[in-house]
Amino acid sequence: MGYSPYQTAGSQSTLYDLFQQSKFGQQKASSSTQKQKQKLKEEYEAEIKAAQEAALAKQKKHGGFFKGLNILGSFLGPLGAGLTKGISALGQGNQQRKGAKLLLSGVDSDRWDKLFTRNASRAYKEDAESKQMSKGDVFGGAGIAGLTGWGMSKMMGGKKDEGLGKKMFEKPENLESIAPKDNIGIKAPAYGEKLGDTSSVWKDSIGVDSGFDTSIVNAGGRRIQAPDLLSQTAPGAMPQVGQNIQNLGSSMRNIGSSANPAMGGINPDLISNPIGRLVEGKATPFKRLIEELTDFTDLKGQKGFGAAMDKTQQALMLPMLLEQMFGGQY
Amino acid sequence: MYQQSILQSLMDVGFGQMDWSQLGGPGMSSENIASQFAGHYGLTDADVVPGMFQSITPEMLQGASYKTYAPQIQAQGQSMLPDLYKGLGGQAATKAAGGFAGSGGFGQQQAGIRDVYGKGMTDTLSSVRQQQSQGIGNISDLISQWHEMAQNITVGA
Repeated sequence: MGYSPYQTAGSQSTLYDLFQQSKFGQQKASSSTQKQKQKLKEEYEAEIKAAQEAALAKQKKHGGFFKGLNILGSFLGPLGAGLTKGISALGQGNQQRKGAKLLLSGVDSDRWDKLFTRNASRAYKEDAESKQMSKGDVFGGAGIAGLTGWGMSKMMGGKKDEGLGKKMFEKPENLESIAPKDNIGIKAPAYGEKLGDTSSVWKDSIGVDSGFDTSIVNAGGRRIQAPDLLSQTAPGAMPQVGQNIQNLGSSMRNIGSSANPAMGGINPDLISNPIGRLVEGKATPFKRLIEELTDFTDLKGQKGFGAAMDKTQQALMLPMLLEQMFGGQY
Repeated sequence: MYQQSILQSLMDVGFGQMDWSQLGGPGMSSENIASQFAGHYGLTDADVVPGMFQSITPEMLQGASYKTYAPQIQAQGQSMLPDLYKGLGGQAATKAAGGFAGSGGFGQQQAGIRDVYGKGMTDTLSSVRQQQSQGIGNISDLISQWHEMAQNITVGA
């Protein structure tokens, strides 16, 4: 066998090809690695986002209820305010504690700590751990909030809340002595022999500056044209001087039914109660309070700013209602 | 020696005991390499993908094998032999000896011929060894790249 330059060159070129092949394979592997890193990064970020959203949702849960409770508390005197503030803070604190726990439990830190996400994962974990609360923290916060609520209410001149709990569970008829009907609603002025002078009555009592023939007032959320109501009052049923307009209710109730049966008459309580909410029936104040709070916190099925405004309005009316229930004492 | 250290490094990662020829076998598929390296670096199989680990091809193994270059040595040696024989026993040798074998001039001529042959063969052998070493180096680089890819996922690079 003679010397073959082709053979020598051949083995060298094969080696060179191998080197090139290896280099190409290395580039492919690097590309795959980068893709995998990107995929893992996205997976990590999605996990963090999901944990944060879950924590936020948990912390916001029952938020409307606690807000309502705080509003209510500010009208219940020092002890009531302290109590509701404390309960509210306890509930909110507990929700925050549970939410903060989700920040940690929702993320697989063991896994991400081993990957290139280590720095980000550790920073996140430190941040989440700093947001953790013990049950002691929650109770402590609730106590401080309760004391603050109590102190604030005292500063605002709140009175001793005797029998608050009792009143909350009393039937409305028993509350008459606390909040007599003469003190609420619209009372006819002492001048004028009859309600024929209705323009003054409506104008002075409700503050609507309008003429006798054209005045339209809003009583209890319904538009009532004063002259019509009064002109259709049955003969002999005209109220006397100083008589509470709410007494007109019994006669007015019949007006609608006779004149226009479809209208079904006017409920006298709509006149006796200027905020348009009925304080009648057998529901206790506590039950009504819960209903109000439920209405306030339940926004399901309602969308937009208008719905939110309606709910806010209801919430603002709640203290007024309570004030009436307890005769403005609490 | 070099090949043995490479095999040992693979055993450290978790591959079983194997010989050099098994590096291109089914036990060294991309999937298996990914799984072994993931385990070695405390990762899960979901953290790495087989595409990150280029397997060793039969050509790479061939480039790292002495057998690949043996014909080249043989051919080079044989091509030098006629000159060697001629130098050792031909006219040039007779002339150098001055008609008498065993003279000083003859000895020097013989040594010179051997040196020329030896140098030629040494060059050939060196060249072949260098090529084989590059072939082994390719495989070594590839294994280093496996480590690099896995480390890239673990702590970043």
